[in-house]
Amino acid sequence: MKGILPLCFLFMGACSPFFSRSGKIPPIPFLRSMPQEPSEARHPNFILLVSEAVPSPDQDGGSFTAAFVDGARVGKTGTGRKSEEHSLKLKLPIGNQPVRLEHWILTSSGEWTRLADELQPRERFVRIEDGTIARLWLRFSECASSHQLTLGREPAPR
Amino acid sequence: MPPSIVPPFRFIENFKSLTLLLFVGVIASCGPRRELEPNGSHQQATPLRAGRRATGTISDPKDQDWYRLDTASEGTLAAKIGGIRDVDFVLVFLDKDRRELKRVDETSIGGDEQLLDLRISSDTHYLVVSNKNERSNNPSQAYELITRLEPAGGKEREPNDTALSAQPMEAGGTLRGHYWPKHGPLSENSGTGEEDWYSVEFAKEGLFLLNIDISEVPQVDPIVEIYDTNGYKLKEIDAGGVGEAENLRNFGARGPARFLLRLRSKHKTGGNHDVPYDLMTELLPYQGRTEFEPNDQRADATPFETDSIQGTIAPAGDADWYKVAIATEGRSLLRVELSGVPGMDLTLSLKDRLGNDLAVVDNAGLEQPEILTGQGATGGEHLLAVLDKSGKKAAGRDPYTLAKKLIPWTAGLEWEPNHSTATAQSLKIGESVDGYFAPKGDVDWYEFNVYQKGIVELELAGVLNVAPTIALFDQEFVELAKVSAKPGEPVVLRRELDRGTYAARLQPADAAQNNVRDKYSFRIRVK
Repeated sequence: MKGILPLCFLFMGACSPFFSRSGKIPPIPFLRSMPQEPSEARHPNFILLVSEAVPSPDQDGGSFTAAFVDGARVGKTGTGRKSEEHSLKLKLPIGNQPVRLEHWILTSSGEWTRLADELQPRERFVRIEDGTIARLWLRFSECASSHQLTLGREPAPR
Repeated sequence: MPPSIVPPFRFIENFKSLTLLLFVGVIASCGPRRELEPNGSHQQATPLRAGRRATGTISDPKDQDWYRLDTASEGTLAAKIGGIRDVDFVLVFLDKDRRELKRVDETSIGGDEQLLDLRISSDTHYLVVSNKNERSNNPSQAYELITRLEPAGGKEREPNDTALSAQPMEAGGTLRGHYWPKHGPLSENSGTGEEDWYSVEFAKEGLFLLNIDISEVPQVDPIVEIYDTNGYKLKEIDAGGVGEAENLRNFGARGPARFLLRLRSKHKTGGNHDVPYDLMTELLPYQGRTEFEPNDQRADATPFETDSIQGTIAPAGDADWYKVAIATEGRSLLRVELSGVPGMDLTLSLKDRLGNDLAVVDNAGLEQPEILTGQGATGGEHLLAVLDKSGKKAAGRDPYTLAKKLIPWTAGLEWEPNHSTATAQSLKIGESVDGYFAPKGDVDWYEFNVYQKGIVELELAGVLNVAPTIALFDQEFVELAKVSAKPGEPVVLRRELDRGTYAARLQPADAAQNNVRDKYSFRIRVK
């Protein structure tokens, strides 16, 4: 019986293009084998905001974005519909940090797939300072085939 | 005279008299028909064969003369009444049930009135002559009412003043009619101008292009409107002025279909009873090589599937939208060339599928081509829009050609859009990129990371007609340095940089400078 259960899940996943019948986005398989993500910082100095303009509701599948600092994975945004704003709040070390983002999308077959390298956002340095919050916006459009990456800075609440 | 020879002579004499009588009779029948008073109602109407003349008088100001028209065959009737002193004629055409079909009252006292292109069948019709001048006093002078009957083929058939009474016509043929009378259609005080409605129908299945030409008529500024069967106006053509022709090219139709054409003079005082218009229609199978009007908005964009496509800017203010579907995987550069049109300054816009501008190309001036040098495109749909810059010109007879080319993108080529810090193109130290200073006002942003402190050199090879400028920014977009050179000359910026992200902004010193022919070459290296 235990052996049949995963097959049932697989079949259910294939029948629903983006979401399960309960409307929830499937779990991210590769994360099971990865170390536990650090939870979101209470007093962040770096906030990543990711959103996407989707042309129609049937293309509003799931997505999330993972963040890497100096080559090491530091967290990922929440998983949700592409059109929703996903955020990641981190407390990063002070200094000029090279930040790379990795965007993942849920395909119509129900699998999480990493966006092709040429469509991923470019790596860029983000200066992390005391007393300020660096805010990085990543906005996708045209089915994630183009994006805009903008950096802003605001004083941290005292 | 012997009695035996009397009868033949009498016969001869009788024969002469009979011939004379017949001759007089024939002459009399060829002459105008004299009205038979009283003929003030349809019951008393004077019979008049279509194509004959009649004479009559206006015995008092309220006198009405009814004529009953009888004809054995269908045809087109024209009726003209010659003006007489003191009388302001009104001429009305009615069907067998005395329903008014057409009225003419274009002139005042003493003027002629004429009705043209009246559809007449074997049923009875009436012509009623009346007078509007309450003080008229000319009971003795005779008027002459002349009718002319012609075969109906290829002619307008009045009344066709409303969508409901639109005259059926085949798509592909010529039809002749008049902008007459000026006022119409029925009521004296309707205040509306004359309109001619035609119903263009075709039963064939498939996609077709309908071309429409209206010939020029002196004193008339024509307007042609196309409506669908639901009464929605699909297109209005009003490019020419008074005495000029109008034409529409490449109006797309999915057969079988039916359209209504409404033809009228722009000005209510415009009309011409002497010179007819020719309405020519042509139906061609659609082969994807021309625009498919109406394509005035995003939702109606013509699929642009071949290497080139033709279109026209007509009427004034026309916008032609095209849809480019890119099926190839990966990144490509979309290059689009738009030919010039006599007397026009065209602009070309590339838009995303939501209709937002990605690039607006307006490099050249009047009658010159426009080129979108290369826009980054991945799979999916892109939209192109062609417009006349002034928005006031039309060229229905001079098509433009839009040609597209999809070039596979490779590293080392510019990737538009890169005109803002948010869309800066990523470069690595040691790499170079080739790009264009185009369209006019183009700004190209490149971003690179420096992982170890050192002297970095930014080098930009010059292009003709452009004075190149490099501005260097840190990762917070604070400007660190700026250099420029004379047009066509290279420019180099050298600076020691810390670890971090930097952006280079390349642009012509003058926003009006551009070059769609030659690529610049930009290189970043560590010294």
